[in-house]
Amino acid sequence: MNLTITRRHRLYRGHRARSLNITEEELVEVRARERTFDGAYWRTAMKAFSMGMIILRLFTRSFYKIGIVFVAFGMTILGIAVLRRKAAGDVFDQRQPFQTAGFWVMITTLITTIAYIVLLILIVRL
Amino acid sequence: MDTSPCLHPFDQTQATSAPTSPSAPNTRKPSISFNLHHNNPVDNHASKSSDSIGTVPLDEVKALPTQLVKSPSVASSSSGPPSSQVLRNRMEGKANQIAQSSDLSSNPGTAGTDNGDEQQRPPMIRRNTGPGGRYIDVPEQVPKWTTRLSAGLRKLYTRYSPSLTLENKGSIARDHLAVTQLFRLQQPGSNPHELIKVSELGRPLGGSFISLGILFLWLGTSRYFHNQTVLSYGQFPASRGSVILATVTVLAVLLACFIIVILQGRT
Repeated sequence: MNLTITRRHRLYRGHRARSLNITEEELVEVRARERTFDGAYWRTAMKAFSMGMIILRLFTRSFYKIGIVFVAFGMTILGIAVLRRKAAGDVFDQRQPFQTAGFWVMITTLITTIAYIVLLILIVRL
Repeated sequence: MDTSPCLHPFDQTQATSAPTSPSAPNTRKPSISFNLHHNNPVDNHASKSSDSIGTVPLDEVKALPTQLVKSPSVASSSSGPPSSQVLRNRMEGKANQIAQSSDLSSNPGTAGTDNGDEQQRPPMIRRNTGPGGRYIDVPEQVPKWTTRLSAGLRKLYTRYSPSLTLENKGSIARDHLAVTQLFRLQQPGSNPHELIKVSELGRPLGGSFISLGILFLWLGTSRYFHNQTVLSYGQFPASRGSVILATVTVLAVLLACFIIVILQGRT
């Protein structure tokens, strides 16, 4: 019997999120995800944003382009963070195989290298 | 009752007011079996039992000590997984009663054995935080020493504070914020005698740190892929060389900077 019921709540293992009892392994998994996505990607984006904000607000006008580079870098990292979180799969659904983050690491490395090179050029020509 | 002096007074009153009744654990049983059933990872669909979740008070389920759930009679009655899947008791370490009752249950010789599980159950504790909890404000007559200490420190700080409290009128805030604008490389034309050398130093310093950043970025990427390949063999590489390299290079740049500043100040 194929029931397609539209529910207000998303169900995890058949239970709503508030009444779900998380096992120890799932808790470890959730913690690892939060470390990665909130603690690494999101934090990097926030740091770049705030650094760009500091440069744009406090520094002299000759540093304007450097601040813009920081803000653009932060936005790109934020987009990568969102896409990476979507691609990471579900904690409560262990059926699909795990895929390592090599692709995302390569993309992040390329973008960061480009940002660094632009920053280097801007600083040397300052 | 009197032979067990380490019982919590709440437990004692509970035990004396409600004497041992064999039907009391049976009333507990449905929530426990529900509990184990909940942790069953095979349970993958929304059945009718999941709709009755909301009727069972979650706090009561979580306040149950793990000892009670782990008791063999309950475990044998339910078809769920064994006690390794038992939920985390989130009240651990938060309430003294739970710790005390678990201490009691760890050595059953001191506890009253006639009461069994019913006595080891902690009193009903409502969680203060989290979903379903409510914050109960208990007024304190005498402030703690920490409160007094922080109040004293605050008073001391307001007395000797280096910042001024000014009436916010006109461009006061803007002027005082502009004082904070310390981050500027001095232009060569502005003050040609002293600060031009700092400006000369800023560019190579920034460039060297950016290039160090690129170096560490690629070191990190290579380390990631090294990890990725090695982890599939069940090993993990410790990082020694990159740490030493980072330390030595940053230290070299900072030392060079320091020496240049010192030499410029001397001439």
